[in-house]
Amino acid sequence: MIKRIGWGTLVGALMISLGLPWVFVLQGLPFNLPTPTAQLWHYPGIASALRDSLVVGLVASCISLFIASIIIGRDATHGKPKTNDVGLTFAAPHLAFAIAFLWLFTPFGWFDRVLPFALPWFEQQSLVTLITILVFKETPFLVVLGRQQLAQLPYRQWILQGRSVGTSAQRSWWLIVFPAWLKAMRLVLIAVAIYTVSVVDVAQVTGPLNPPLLAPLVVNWQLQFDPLSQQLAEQGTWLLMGLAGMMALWVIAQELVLRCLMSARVGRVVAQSYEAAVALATSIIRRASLIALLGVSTAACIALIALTFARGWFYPSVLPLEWSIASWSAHNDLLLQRLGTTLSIGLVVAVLATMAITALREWQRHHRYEINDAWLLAALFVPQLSLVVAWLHSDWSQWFSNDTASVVMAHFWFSFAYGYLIYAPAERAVPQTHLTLGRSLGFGYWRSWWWFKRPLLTGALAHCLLVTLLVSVAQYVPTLLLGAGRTPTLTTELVALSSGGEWQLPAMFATALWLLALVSLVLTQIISKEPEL
Amino acid sequence: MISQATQIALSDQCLTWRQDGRTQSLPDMNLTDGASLGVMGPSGCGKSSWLRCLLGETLSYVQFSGRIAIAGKDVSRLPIEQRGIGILMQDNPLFPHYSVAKNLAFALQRQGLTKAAQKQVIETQLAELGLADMAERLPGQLSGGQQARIGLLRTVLAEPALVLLDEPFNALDAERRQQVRDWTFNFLRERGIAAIIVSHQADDLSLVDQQLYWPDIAVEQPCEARTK
Repeated sequence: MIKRIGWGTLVGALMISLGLPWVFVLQGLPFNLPTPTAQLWHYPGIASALRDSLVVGLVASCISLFIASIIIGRDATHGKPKTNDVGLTFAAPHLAFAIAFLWLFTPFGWFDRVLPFALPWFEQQSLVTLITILVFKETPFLVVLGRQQLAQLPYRQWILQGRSVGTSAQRSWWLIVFPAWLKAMRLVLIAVAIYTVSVVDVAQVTGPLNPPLLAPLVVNWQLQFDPLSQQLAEQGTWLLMGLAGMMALWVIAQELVLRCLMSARVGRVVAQSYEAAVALATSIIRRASLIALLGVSTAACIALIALTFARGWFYPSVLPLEWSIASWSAHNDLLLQRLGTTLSIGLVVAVLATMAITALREWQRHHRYEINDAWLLAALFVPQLSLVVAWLHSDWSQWFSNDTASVVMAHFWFSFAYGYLIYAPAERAVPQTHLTLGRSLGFGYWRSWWWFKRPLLTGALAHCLLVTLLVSVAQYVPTLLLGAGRTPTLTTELVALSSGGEWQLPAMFATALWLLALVSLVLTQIISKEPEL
Repeated sequence: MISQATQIALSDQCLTWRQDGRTQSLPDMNLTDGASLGVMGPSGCGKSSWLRCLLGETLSYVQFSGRIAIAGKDVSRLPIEQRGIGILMQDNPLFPHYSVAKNLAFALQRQGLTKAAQKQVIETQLAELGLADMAERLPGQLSGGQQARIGLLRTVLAEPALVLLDEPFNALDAERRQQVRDWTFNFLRERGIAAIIVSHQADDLSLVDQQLYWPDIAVEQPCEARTK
């Protein structure tokens, strides 16, 4: 009976904390639809904003999937996959990476000084720049999550069977494993597609300005308090959800088309020269992508740090006039304050989310009842901005009257979904035998979990903590709008500072963000490698 | 010197376990068309690893040396897809996300048949097995015995000279196990395909032409030294 109450209370509280925000969404979502006669359609540049948002979502998510498939294909056909090859880029906060990318590759940036006009594609605020940055950031995300999904499939056996009936390893990946992997990745791909179509912070800093993309436009409207802007924000929210729906349908259609394409090629005779050419091309793309990811991330990290110590680094000088710690000394109070807030919120969120995810997984295993992942990941399938705008119109602020509590709750909610994506596949792969055996020796459920199951999940738990922390650290829209500017973090400060023409101060905040992520990543790697008892 | 009558000849075989350097020599083995060799031994003795090595898989924990000759040609350095050796595994004998027909089509791609000709072959072969109406079903919709039979058919359709069977009947209940086992040996014999089957159950090997009990000699000595 006590155990029943224990499970019931635990899962009940968790379900309330996961379900309550949806209640507020339903309550607060303004039913001001963008009908054909709506004010929204008369806003100058709205058609371009819509078109560009879709282009960003489609192109960035497709290229990221393409590169990730090639990297994972190599993993599947060549023994043990590498685990650290995309770590640096994966851990890089989007915004910090974007700031460094702009300073390195845009006109008057560092590369322009070394090789003038060698990189003419990256304007300071353009679609190409935004898409490139998103591809750089989303590809490692898909690779990390993709490797987890791959590990759930008997892919080695499938490739071996394919090869034993005369299909090459590479062809076996594309024809046998890839369709199943793509299906397993559906929810992750939908989350990435919706994120890319509705991204706010990176789009504000690197995306086109006149007109901006739809999501930054909605934030601008939301932050103005005249009735017209509020009306536009409400209609824009729905439009953004429409775009998200289109992206979700696109991912499903893309999966169906690719699976049909692969199926149609089964049994087809393929010339050896063609296979060799494909193998060479994919090998080049994989190597080039990994070199680009590692090279650009390393360069970006170094550039950010260098910027913070540089004085008088004016165009066209390749090096600054002098190096100095003056900037760090001048701003360390502000920086430490923001770092403290960011880290405190992040740690609380990471610990709470990881505990909640662990408890929910255990409840499902214990009761042999699997909640469909789509329900638990639903927060990723609606543009974050639409959700936050709905919360602002609801009783959310009465429930969470404290700004920090409000921000923590929102961070927890979004971090939970990402953490679940990381932890659930790993947990499913671990048998309950050890835990049951422990209980048969007289250990209670959670004591047995701690001593016998947790050691098998050390890596997954560490990665869950890392991802939930990184998600919290990177939150911009909920922190800005729900915190009403009274809970400034490194991320919100960085967006505010990036709108000016100054590089050094944003670089300091970006460096702090990235270092925070890197330290967390290194700690995660150390914990994951600890010998398991 | 390999006699022309001998289709498959395995010689100078040695397995070296990388972790502790143990080695295990295996006797020379010769198989003619349609003949079968049963290898029995306790679980974990290395039988399955040996089969994987014969297939051409590189394993991280064990190294294989030896000569694998098919019709006089040494195939031991060829990649898996060019060896002419097929395998039937105990679990997941079929690709679960493809229909039976698609699963079988994988084995026909080397033969340069048109799609229509492939379809004809698949229909005929399934009809011969009494599974004519199964072509469009997914493996998950088939019984364990049907999966095992279609898995073997797929292996055979690729026209291998040798089929490796790794505890192929483990997933079946006792009654079905005997049916599928009898059918498997007859099927391979009729088609003149040599087979090596490993199992830890003596019953599984009752119909084989030759039997070998897995040697339990394992010493810390390099393979070269042992063969001198």
